[in-house]
Amino acid sequence: MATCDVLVIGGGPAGSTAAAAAARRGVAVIQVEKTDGNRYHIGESLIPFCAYPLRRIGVYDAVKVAGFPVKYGVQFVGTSGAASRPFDFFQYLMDGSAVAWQVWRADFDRLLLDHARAQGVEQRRGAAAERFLIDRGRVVGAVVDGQPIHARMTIDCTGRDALALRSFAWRERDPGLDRWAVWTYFTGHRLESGIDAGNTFVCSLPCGGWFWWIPVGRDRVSVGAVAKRESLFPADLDLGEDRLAAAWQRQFAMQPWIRDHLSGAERVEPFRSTNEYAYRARYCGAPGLILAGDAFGFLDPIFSSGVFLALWSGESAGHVAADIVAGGAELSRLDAYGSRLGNAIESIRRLVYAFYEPTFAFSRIMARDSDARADISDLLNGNFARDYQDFFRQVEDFCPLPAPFGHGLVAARAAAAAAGDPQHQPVAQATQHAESSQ
Amino acid sequence: MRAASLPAGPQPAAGSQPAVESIGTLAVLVDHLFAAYADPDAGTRSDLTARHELLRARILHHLAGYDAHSCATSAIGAVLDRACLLYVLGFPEASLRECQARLDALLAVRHPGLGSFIERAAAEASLVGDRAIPPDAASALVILAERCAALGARDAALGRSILIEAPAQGRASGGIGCARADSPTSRRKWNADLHDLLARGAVAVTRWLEQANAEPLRV
Repeated sequence: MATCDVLVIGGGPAGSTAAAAAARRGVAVIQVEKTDGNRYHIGESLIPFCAYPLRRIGVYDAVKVAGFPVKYGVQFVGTSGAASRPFDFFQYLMDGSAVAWQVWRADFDRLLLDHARAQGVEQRRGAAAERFLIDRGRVVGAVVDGQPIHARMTIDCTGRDALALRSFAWRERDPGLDRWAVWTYFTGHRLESGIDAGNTFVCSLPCGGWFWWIPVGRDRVSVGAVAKRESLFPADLDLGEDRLAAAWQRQFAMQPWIRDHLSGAERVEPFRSTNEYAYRARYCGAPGLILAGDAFGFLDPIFSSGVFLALWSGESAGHVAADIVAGGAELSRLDAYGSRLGNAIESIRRLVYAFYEPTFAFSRIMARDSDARADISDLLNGNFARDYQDFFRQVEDFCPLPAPFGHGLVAARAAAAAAGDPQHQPVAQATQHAESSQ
Repeated sequence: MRAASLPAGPQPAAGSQPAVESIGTLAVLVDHLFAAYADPDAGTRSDLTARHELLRARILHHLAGYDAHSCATSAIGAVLDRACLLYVLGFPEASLRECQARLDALLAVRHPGLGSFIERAAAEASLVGDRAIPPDAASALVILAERCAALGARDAALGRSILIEAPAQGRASGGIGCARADSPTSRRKWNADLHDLLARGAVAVTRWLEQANAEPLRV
């Protein structure tokens, strides 16, 4: 029977960062990844704040020389095809981390996975976690390829496979962000000149959706359309056999900037799609369990926050697990983790909602308040932890903002409160249910 | 973060597909930021092109070893970007004013008890130890501060001369102290080495940002 201090399930950015962070604290870590380390994944755009967790786990220099295209900023393109001035990250972030990258995720994820192994993590690649091991309401590991691995703390980094969300029925969808995406890759495209060549372009569509433009390599660009289902796949329109291609082409025809930059380009990958565009776990963890990355939640990718949130939450989860293994108070640490992560996501979530409101435009906010450019740049940089109350008060003058999506607490804390005894270590309702159904 | 070698500064050939860098170089950044008005294809080399080349060369010289993944990026791309652009465009006095505003704001944080740019620049130049910037950068700050003070004095003197000696009051234009007279600090004095001072100023800013170590989000 295998045992360890911390079991990390998943070999994406969250999992590898969690594993590396915990291993660097000196605890015994086993990391399981269902693939052999070569995995296609969407989410190719890093933001500057990715540099901090990458530095802290010691992999930044390896990323820097890995050959990923440099990304200096973000530009927004209107439905007419006119591009905004770039939001160059370096104008507001002045500590040398302001230049990010666009990454081919298979290469980036493998680099992080290899780095975690180099930190002393015991890895099992090609091994799939099937279910959690639960003992008296506490997660005590997982069954991996039919064999139990016992751990004092388990970190769920299973991404969209979302082991905990499925096991405990913790998935909460964000109703206002029910978008679909259809994307593919091209070569022979036209790039902007100078430092703008590697920028992300967010190109608005007349239907209220948008295209992403992410140069993921010297000769390859990722181009995806995001919109409501009824816009991409109208019920009254026969899209033919290749529905994804037809849906993408319809939106492509409506975006002049994308059309211009793909003129003469050749498609080199199949069309792909997803519809899981915004959800969050009801709880960020339970006794013995922490959720990180997409296994905790996913937000519409318009501001490229996904990889950063994966790295940040993964690193945080690794430290929280190491703290608890070392004897730290479990619930208070999980509380702090959940509230910090939830608050961080909430800032960028409000900006995502604003973006989809037809009455909102960055140019309008900045025309009235030039300082808003700094706030917007901070959000685009990934500085989610700061206070944006003043900024969002101004945004609310243009469009309504959503109520907080109040999830991400700790399962055991919620159950304890319900039991009226916060000192007691009760069995979380959800894990109780999962245990009884095993 | 310093890199091992001098950035190469590649220039894509006209009409070719521009490449996306994998390690950002300061040369590409400088070209992008300050070359907007230069026209390398023009039949005669313009002043703009010449100033851009001067500035580019001095920045890459003084910041050799830094790449775009360093504080040098913000030093030239955010703190001194407007000052550099004003220099390239041919407005040296405006460049100096901009330089003063941005450098003095940073110096005021480092030397809060002092009252003027000159005093703060002198205090910075006298620093030794961990907080010291390279002597070359420190001397540039002092020169910039002195020049800004002289610029202020020149403006004040010019104002008085216009008031006292204006032709409308019966004096001939072009006489002593009138607006057309060469100032004690001529355009040549403002402009001749400004490209080098800006680049040395960028070194100072880069080092200040490094010392601030302003990592804003920690686990």
